[in-house]
Amino acid sequence: MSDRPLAIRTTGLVKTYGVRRALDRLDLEIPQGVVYGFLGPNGAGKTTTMRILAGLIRAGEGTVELFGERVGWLDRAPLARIGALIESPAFWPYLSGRDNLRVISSLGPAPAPGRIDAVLEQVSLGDRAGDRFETYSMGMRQRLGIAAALLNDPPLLLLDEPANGLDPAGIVDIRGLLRELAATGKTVFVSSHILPEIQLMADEVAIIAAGRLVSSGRLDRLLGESGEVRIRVAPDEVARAGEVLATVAAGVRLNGRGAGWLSVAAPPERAAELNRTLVAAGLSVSGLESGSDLEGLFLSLTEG
Amino acid sequence: MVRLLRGSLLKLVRRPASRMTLAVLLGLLALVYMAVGASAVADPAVAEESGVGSVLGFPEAYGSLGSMLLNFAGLAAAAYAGAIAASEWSWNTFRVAVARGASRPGYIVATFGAVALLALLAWVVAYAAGVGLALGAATVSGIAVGDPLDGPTLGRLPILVIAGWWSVVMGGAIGFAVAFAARNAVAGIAAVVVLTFGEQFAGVVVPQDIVSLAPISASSRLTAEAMATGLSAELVGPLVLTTLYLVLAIAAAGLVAQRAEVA
Repeated sequence: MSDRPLAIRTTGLVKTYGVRRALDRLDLEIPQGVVYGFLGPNGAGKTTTMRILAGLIRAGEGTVELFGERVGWLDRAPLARIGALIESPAFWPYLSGRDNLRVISSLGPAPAPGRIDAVLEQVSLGDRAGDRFETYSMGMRQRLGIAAALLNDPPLLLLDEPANGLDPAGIVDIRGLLRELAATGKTVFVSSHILPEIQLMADEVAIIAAGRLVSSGRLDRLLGESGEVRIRVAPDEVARAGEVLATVAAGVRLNGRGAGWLSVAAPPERAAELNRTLVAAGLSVSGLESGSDLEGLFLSLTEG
Repeated sequence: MVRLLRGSLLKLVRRPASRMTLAVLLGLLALVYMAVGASAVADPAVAEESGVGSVLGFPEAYGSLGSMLLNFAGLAAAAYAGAIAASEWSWNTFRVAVARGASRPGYIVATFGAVALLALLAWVVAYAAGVGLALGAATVSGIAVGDPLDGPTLGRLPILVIAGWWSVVMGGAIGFAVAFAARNAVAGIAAVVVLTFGEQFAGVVVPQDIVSLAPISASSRLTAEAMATGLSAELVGPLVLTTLYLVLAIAAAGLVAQRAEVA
């Protein structure tokens, strides 16, 4: 966990819809100035959490703190420090992108002069700002949603699936933009189903399943803990290689084995050490593959 | 609040439904005056018996126009305000307002305030167009135009216009509140239609003194008294009732907004 001051802290957050518990005592700590990935399978409670943070729905139990201040249902002042894009971008379809931002700017604190054009440029919509929203492609709508979230230059951004509908170049642009914002000290709390995208942009992540936190922390640490090393040996030496690693290499767990290979759960940086151990035991290692990916971590934590 | 109102005006002025509603209102007025003028041309005797003179002849035409416009514009306002309110849910724009930190009831009041201001503009334009249409229809059909510049009537005209607008806004407020609570525009229109006809039917079995306290009856009385007496004490009762229903409707919409979970 980071030692930075917190932008968001939720404690024991509970939300039920009828008999279904969407959030089940969810505890989150999101430090300031990072891109924080928020992951979970469909129905895990990501959007529900975002809605509670944005003041759209009330939690049944638990507390929310933003920048160290406890926030109650209908407290409006903290919302001025948040730029939110929750679910799909919502705008008046007959208004232009620019006029939509004008109307939205009247709903909260007044943005700085020229800010509307600045954010439109920031999301590469300057050329189409005068066109009606209903004529925008899905990617352009998403960009306008991000522009609206940035309108007041808030210190905290809540972005629910911001890359939805964006083409590859758009995804790269938005990734760069979010990284830039975090570099200026803003906190970007972003949920996404595009796990490689989160892996490329997030500093820290939280993974939830069935409304509960299952893992959180710095992405590099989590990935390091969840790495895999795949070792190729002669087919008749697979069993012995497994025994050697189990007895000699501390903290190594056998994931699986097949004809001429075995896989162990270990951080990628331990691959060379495992190679040396096997060679020292007289085994011939013909190949080594190591790596870690968020998808694997995500699936291992949320499946079953 | 001023910024909220300005933003609400921007979103409504540009909305195609705003122009469409006014166009429908003007179209209905034109149809009515064309029909009345044509009937006068076709059979002057029958037309005179059926009171065409009070529709096309001045100064009586001012009152006829006010009553007619109240019926048309009342329903148009309910439909328009209902559509505005329901679209806050269907377009998820209420969610945007809440997430931006706007006061929920304040947003509702500002949105309806913009509806009311546009209704005033539409009412004045429609009334002026109606006067022009009545003059045109009377001239074409050979009905005596009378005295459009009748001093006492013209003196009461501003009160009639304001009272008529306020009555229409009250109906719009009911449509707005019901549509917002139900998240459905049709529900708002249906509520006003049911009230309009319900009060008429209620008059058959319930004493008129009681029915006259109901929303649509009170607003009709307000317009009728404004035409008959101008600025007088007779206005106070229906004005208070109409204002009370308007405030209650918007307060109810504000309460719904305040308590709503916005998905």
